[in-house]
Amino acid sequence: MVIKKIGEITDEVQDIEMTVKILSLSQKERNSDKGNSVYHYGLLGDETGVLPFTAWNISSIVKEKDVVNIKRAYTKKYNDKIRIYFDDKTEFALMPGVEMEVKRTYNYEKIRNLGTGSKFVALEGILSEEKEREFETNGEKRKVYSYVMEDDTGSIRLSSFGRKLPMGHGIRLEGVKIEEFNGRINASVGEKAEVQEIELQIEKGPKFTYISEIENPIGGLYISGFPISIGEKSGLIKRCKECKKKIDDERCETHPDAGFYFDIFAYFNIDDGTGYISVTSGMEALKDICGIKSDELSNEKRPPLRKEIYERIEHSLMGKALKVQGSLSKNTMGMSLRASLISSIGPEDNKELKKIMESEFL
Amino acid sequence: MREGKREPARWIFSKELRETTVIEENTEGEKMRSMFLTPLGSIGRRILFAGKVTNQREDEKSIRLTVSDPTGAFYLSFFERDFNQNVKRQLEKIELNQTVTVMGRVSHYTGEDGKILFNINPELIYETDAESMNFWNARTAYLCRRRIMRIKEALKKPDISTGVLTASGSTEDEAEGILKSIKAYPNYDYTKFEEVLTSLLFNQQISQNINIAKDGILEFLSSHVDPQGIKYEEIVNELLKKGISQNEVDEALNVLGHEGDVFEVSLKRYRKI
Ligand SMILES: [Zn+2]
Repeated sequence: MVIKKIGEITDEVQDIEMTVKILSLSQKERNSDKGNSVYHYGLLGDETGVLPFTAWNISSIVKEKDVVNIKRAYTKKYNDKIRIYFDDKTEFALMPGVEMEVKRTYNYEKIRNLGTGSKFVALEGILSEEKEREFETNGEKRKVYSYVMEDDTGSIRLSSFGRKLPMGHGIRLEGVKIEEFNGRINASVGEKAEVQEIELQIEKGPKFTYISEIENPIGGLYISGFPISIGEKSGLIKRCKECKKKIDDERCETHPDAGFYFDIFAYFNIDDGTGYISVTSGMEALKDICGIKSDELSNEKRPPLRKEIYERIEHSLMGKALKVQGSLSKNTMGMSLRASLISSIGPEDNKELKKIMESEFL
Repeated sequence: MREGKREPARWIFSKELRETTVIEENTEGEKMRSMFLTPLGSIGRRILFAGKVTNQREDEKSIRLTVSDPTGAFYLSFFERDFNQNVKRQLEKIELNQTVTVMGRVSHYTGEDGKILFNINPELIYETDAESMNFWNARTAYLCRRRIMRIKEALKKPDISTGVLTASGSTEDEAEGILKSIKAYPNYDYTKFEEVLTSLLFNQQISQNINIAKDGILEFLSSHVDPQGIKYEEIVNELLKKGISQNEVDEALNVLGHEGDVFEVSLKRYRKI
């Protein structure tokens, strides 16, 4: 018999002895010619790692969270992954009073593949844009730090509870919780999650994507295409001076005496040959391409004209090939892109895009 | 603005539409809908393209435009009775030799010789710039090459399904179009189309203006035959009338010389071969 740590098991072995913690234990019925039988499956682990198991036979004394010494187990590959098996030769001995800190292992994911399906993952990337915030839990004040985490496929918002994380350098985080919030993918880590500094080369800046390949609401992307329709209500809008919300009537419903200021906003559909997506954009994203300056909007002697602003936006966007950078978000209408910057495609962009397209045929 | 699922606009070269001989007829409720099915697997009723306005005619009832891309021309017509004031307003701003981006619905009719001919009813037309046109050419060439590549893969496996194609990176409707076009165009020569794309990509730095200069020079040299050759200055002056600069004429003369269409008889005197 060989004594093994979970982290050492990488191949098919017979007759193993191990001391492990049972992390989960479930039961399943199997129907065959010989009648119905029951088997168990779950996860077990020790200080070096976690593996799944299947038990054709398991002692009834074994429960979830028990630390158990197991003799005569074996491993086999299932679907190309190692799995531990117990059968009627396997022996189980409980080890009461033994504490075991299990090393969790998580599947490594690229940011663009972060669907809402996977709950806990490992991520690699570079952090930036630290923001500190306080929150209360169970009457206790705690700090949360939020970042933008970027890899070579995109970016997401990451919150770290109670702990500052290193910025500007490659890191690997184990056990990152992935959730969808407000139509966007958010990541968070607790204080105990493992952080490791790693060598990581990432080209900074938004990553190219075809519209047909968009799946998950992440950020740090850009698309390139032609606008195919522009929303009629694009152009000049009024915002409440107090709450900054868009005013549809003459005054803000909540702050009728606050007054208003002008802002610009545009929404349009853009097509890149593989599909189309709707884009929303504000002053920051539009000001350069439309040539609209903020003093124009606040000029009281010559207030901006609705029709003129609409036409300037229409003229600078429609008919032109555009590069739109921003973050995706999901709502009832589907996915849309919130633009952080819109620019017209120039010679350098064309060169870059050709390189990306050519690489598919090499 | 989002009126449910919008019908996709296919980005295709005029050559792909011109070589289309299959129209799919589907009944959708009461209505009969016809869709083009191109030899390269694009299905639809709507296209998007960029090109140069090479012909323009207008009468009381309609506006007709010819818009050229590097592989030929699209024919557009807009009828007064269509009453789309927004499109009409944009159309009225368009002038000859301008470069434009167009999205439009494709309708077809059968010509005297039985060939299917296509007409584009613009839903959107705006003036565009050279880089936007370069962008459209490059992206459209890419999408063509991608479909040809997948058609060739599919031809090797007779039982291939849309599932296999989507698993290898096709979008669902791309896969559907590919499989339909293989059945509908059993003898199509993909290599010829690929050659066009290769030369198109190779010549992308030669802007569309230079292509127009080439045609202009050849036309001028054909109608002004002189065994001694036509003087360089005369060519420049003639093309200047068409809005082509001296630089573009120089570039076009180089290309024509290189391709063997024009011969320099003596210093700065040219003749068509
Ligand atoms: Zn307010």
